[in-house]
Amino acid sequence: MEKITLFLEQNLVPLLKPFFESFHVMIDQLPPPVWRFSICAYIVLGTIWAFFLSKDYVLLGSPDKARWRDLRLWIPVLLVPYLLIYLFI
Amino acid sequence: MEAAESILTPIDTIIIVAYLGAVLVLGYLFSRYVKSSGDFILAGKSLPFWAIGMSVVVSDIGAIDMVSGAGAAYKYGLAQANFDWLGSVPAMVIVAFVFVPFYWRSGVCTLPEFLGRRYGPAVRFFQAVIWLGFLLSMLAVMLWTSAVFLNTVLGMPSQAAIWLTVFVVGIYTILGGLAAVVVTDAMQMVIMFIGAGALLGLSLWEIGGWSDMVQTISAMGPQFEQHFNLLISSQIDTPYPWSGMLMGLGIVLSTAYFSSNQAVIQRVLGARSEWDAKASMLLAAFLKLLIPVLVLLPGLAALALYPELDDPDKAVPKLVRELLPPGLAGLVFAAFFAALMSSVDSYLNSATTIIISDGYKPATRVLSGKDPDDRHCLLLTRVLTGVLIVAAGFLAPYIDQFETIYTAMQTLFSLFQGPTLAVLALGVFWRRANAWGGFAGLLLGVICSGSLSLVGDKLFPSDDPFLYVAFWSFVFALIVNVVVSLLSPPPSKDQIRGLVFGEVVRDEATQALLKDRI
Repeated sequence: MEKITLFLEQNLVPLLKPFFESFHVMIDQLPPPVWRFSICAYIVLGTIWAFFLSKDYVLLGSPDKARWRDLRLWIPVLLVPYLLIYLFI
Repeated sequence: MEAAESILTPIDTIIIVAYLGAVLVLGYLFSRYVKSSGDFILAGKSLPFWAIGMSVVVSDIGAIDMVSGAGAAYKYGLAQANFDWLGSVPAMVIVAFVFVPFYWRSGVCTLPEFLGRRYGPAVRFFQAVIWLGFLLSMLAVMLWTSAVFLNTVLGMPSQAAIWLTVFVVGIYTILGGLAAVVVTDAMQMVIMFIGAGALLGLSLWEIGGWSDMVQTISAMGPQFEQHFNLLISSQIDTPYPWSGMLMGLGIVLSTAYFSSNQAVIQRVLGARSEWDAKASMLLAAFLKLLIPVLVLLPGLAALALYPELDDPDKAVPKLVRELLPPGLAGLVFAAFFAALMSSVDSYLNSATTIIISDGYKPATRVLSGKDPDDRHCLLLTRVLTGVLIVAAGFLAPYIDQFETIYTAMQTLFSLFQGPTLAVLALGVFWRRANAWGGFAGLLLGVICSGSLSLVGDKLFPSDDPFLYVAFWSFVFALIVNVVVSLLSPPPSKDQIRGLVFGEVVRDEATQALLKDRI
């Protein structure tokens, strides 16, 4: 294992370091409000699309058409507490 | 292991024995409904969304988390909560509306089975071996955790603690299969929440409330300044920098965990309808909101009360010993058993399913040219469940001697998450992905993550860069899969029928073919 690590340190690290270093330097320069905004944007964008799915797709397999079974309506209820956490903690 | 003096009173013992007895009775009751291997593995597709949702959460939060999660909060602070918060949303929403309907309609039982259909037997075998190794090692580790906890706090000999757990979990899992596992999980979640809530309430009472806890910890020195921040700069020495949390945990590890972990997939496939399967994941995402409050805050409370602990993992056992009155101690021990058993039963059931679905059934088809007899499969499934839990019981004591092996295994298995997600996502969403692309993406992706892990401290701004390794190995496996697939012939329409998302969701001809599975 030591030989493999040494080989990688001599060959892979010099190749990749400039890319990863510049990437992380850029990330590190972002101010804390941007961190918060990035996480919230990821949560919103990764979740909100489900709100626009077709009703048939969401209700497929449901035993009835009761309003609470529309899973699209669960999305905002789920999203709000997570957003509050990442906005205020 | 040196035994401690037990703190349990007779009332505590009665609570624990009553709880264990109830679990065994539930297992026996469910055994009457198990008539086929489908009943055992997928609970006869009869489970309601609320039971699956609770089961997914409680399987995810095991006894290890109750001890080491609180320990990590003691050491690193609230940033540990990201694993339950950012680790749940949006991953569980994506899984609920994309992967769950997809698995449900394609009629598979395991992730290796799906990848085998989509990419071929090499990828299936590779994935089955990875998951089986992971599940078995985790079983042994969980049994050892129970031994450590019960020995430290109750004074129970470690061998007795291991075999008590083997006996109780083995019996109800062998008898009742997935249905017993999920229903006992639901009961265990309630007990776990009550027990953990009681521990947190008493801890905060002892400190004087939330604001006193924050003040006490903040006044301890500059190294505790970040203890109440969820997002931490990567310029600070922490294993949980915010950028790693977003890229490694949020995008890759959480999505990979919920879309490819057999313990999760098997539960949602046991749902009584596709709607229940989807709803269960959303309910689980709601419940996960509470986990850091119940599991991690006791760690912070322990820091405020006992800042001199030499090992952060002793935070919860210390609170239990020092704070709990008679009766509540029994309840918290029952909660610990609940957390432990809910994880052990899930991993046990999942390991058995992989052996049967991805090993025994395909091998029988190849050797005899026909499907194995279902009654034979059911019997074998039960025998295997017993064999695996007993084998894990024998392996468990060795975990103590080979702690570095356990650590290495954990690192090793975390290496597969990024490449597995890349191969799975392209297999589901890109019809051009083929067998060569899938195999090359998985193999080279794992080699990439292994290499990055070895030299990660020289490339990334963290000494423990597993979050960055997961993200970049995911990106690399994605690129390799795309390039190799484009350089080799595309799969035929027949090969991918019913296995690509757009076709499964939108194509009426495919839906008609799959209708009997919905």
